[in-house]
Amino acid sequence: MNNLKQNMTETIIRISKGVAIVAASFSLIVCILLVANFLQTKTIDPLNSRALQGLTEKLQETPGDQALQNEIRALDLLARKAYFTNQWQLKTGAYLLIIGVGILLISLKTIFTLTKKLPLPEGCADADDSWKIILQSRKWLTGFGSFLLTFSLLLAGLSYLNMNNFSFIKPQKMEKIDFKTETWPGFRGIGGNSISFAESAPLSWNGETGENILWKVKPPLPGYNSPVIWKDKLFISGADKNRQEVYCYDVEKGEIIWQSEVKDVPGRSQNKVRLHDDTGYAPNTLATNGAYVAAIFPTGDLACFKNDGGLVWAKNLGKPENHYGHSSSLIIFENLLIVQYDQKKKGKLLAFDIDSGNEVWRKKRNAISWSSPICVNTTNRMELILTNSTSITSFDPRTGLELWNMDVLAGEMGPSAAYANGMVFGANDYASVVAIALTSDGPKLKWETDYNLPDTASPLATEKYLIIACSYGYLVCKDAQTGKMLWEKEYDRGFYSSPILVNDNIYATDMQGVTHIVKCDSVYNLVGEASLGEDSFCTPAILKNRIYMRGDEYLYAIGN
Amino acid sequence: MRRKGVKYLYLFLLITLLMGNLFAQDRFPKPEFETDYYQPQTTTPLPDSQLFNYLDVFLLVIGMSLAAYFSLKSRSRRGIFIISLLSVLYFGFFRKGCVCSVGSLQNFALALGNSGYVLPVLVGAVFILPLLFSLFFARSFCSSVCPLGAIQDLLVLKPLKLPSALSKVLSFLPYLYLGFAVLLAFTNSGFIICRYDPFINIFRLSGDFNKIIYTGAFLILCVLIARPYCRFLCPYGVLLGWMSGLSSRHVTITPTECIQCKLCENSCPFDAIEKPSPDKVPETRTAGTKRVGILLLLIPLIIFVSGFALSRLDNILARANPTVRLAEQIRLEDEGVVKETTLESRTFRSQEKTGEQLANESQNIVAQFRIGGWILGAFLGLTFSLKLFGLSVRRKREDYEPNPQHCFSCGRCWESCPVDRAPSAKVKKLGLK
Repeated sequence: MNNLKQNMTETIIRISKGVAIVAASFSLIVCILLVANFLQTKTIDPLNSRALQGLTEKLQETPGDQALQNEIRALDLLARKAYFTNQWQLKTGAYLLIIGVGILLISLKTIFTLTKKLPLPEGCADADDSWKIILQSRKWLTGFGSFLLTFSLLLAGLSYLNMNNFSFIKPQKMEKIDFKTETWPGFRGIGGNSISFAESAPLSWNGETGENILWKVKPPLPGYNSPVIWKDKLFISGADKNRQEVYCYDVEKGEIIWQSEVKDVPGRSQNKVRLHDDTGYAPNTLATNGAYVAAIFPTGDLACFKNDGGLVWAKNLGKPENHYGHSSSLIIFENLLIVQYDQKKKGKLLAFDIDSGNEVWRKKRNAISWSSPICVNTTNRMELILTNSTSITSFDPRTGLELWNMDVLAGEMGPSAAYANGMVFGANDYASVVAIALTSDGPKLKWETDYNLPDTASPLATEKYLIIACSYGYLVCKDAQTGKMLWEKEYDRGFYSSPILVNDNIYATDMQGVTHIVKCDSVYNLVGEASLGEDSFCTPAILKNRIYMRGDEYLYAIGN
Repeated sequence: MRRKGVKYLYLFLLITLLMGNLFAQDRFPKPEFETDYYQPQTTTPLPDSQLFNYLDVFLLVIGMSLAAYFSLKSRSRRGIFIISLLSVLYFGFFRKGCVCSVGSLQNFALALGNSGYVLPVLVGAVFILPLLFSLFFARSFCSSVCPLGAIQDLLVLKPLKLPSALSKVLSFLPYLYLGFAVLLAFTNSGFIICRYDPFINIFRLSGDFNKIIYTGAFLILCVLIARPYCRFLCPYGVLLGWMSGLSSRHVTITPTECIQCKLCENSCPFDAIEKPSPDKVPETRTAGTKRVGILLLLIPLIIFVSGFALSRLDNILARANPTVRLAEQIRLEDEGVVKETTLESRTFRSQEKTGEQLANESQNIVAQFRIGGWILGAFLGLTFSLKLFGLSVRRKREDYEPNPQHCFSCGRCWESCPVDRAPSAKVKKLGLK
């Protein structure tokens, strides 16, 4: 009986050894295959293969080539198949390996259990050894405890001696910033949506007599770009045919804190850029996030400065194919500097990492425009909304993913979009005003009208009203939900400057530099009018109960 | 020679096991669809069915009951082994190692420190039940039901024996880990037990490169040293040890009377068998009493100094908290010390909360760490003192006995005991002996 049992045991051990060898070999083979797979996938990148890229570039030259499109699709499908096959291989390989190693473990466990011998009492510790172990344990434990204690005390001491490195915070030095009320980070304010969060703003001033003018300075070079502000610093740019400059002003005193020239930008074309007089050499409004300020010029030069004036990076985006001159303004979303570079050909929407200037994403644009992007929170996501000569398009600002597009516009597109209460508005002269409702089923055209259209000034949208400032002198208020005109008022001069909402008042500055302050209501109610004393085509920055305006020649700070 | 070969075999075993995880990562970026494809909106998957949570608790109770039966009543090592295997498969691979009792102590601490967080009943059950079982049936949970312990137990083939003194020193680490884990969870600073769980990558067949290296190193350690996590790290093991120490039922090496054969002396790979105390020691009673007296006098001082030292680390420890880190980042950015902003700081600046509010929040958190540092330091000082005290007093022990706190109730020592054991008829029938 014992012999039979012993034979059985030996047989099991033999089988287990065999199984262990097979399992080990199997695991080894799977392991090698996984390594090979890993090395292969590490070196090959089918999604960015040269072949695919080459074909894509070729397609850009011959966009209608159907055969080429089919070839790209086939190659792309192949790349995706390779990707998913690879995923399957990795997963299956991992499971096979686990099964193999599991069997190996069981076999080894069986072998060790069956070959286990009972221990012998030889070599066991006697009383002296036990005492030595206790003594040693006491010493080691004391040493370890002392080490921990000394280390903690040392670290604590260092942390209090060297506060700069170890102290986490000094509250008195924290910058207290209220983003909404202390910044005007780009064209038409926060998100580019023409809403000021100031409680109020002056109702009267006079640029000639100095009434309510805090300061008035003449920038070294002209420009039609509007002021942008971050706390105590105001930024504008100026340029002529020879120089391009960025200026930083002290908002309290109107003194220039720094000015930097944008020159010798790598990649800039030697050919002169054609510009219209209405555009000028510096029409693009800057964008800032406090740490950086970025500027773009119609030459395609894009530059990013630190808030102390030091150039961080600069690049040229290529000579613009633009018969009036590139005039879109910049916008910053999180750490991305977004550039709408709509051209006759090869237009693009670009996002750069503002720290490094590296391109993060780009999207092709199919039509020209002179409008600027807006970036708004449409309740459940942030949307970057652009207009051009054919459409209104929304992108995910983080990735550049197109969220929706509606071909509802036409003409030479100057005005930017506006957003309020789940509705996006677009408008253009010789075309139409459109209202798009963002519904759970996607964007829907809610209403459209071709009466009272803006040429340059962007619309202003509120929950109830849509305000349009026309270049032929009309200021119009429509019902935002229906498009029905509520009132219209004709002034002597037209509007290039975009209207801004401050509390319940609309501030609309005409080309003569007269600002018409009108109640944002269903009936026309003029609250006040004030003049700069010179022409103005720029959009004011209104914050902290002050207005910063740029006239044809001067820059003004207006406040009571 | 043969032993060396076996070690290499273990090593191969572990490396191959690791490879599976290493290559189970996504090597390709997510495909980009740039043409007509509309990328669907990211949706949040529905939470797991509650059914599985109830099943977890049910199986936990069943597992612990069986483990207690096998370790205390039937003395079936095979039964314990089968539960270990099932636990690794169900709690480990199927349930992906979460929620586990070890990590649940952080939920408990978080619930204590944050009125806004309500401890889910099932998580509370997962935390409390093993402690209750340990109070009545010693560490039956550790023997086979805990997936972390079970996977280590399955890797115990022929481990090295650590010097006893080193084991004593290392056994202090779980108290450190417990203290810091509770402090960080209490202050809502993170769950370090989960973050540094060495086995989760195996159970989930995923993980980044660093974590896989970490897991691999730990698995190799598990082959060289038996259950290193349970013995020298597991913070929940500290609580279980306390409960088990209070339990009246423990695993016994011999079913009847110890014959002092010494055969079991080296049978425990976890160094949990206490030897009979020597009749004579080379120290006079007076010297021993004096030493213990000095230690007793020093205990309050040790507690105070430890508390003081850790309370002074408030600024450093508080950095584990994301709010404090953000406040520091904002300060450094504002002072121009760091040039690069972070996603968190940019997000903060785009919100309405002011820097002052953030600073105040941070100050409150640091204050919590200061008080927590006092408590943690005092706890560690007391633990250290008691450990030293335990090594300083003589206890009369006549037989070889499993340490009531450290024994995992695995039953490995039974095989070494030559005292005849008669398995019950029921166990024989089930073939579990």
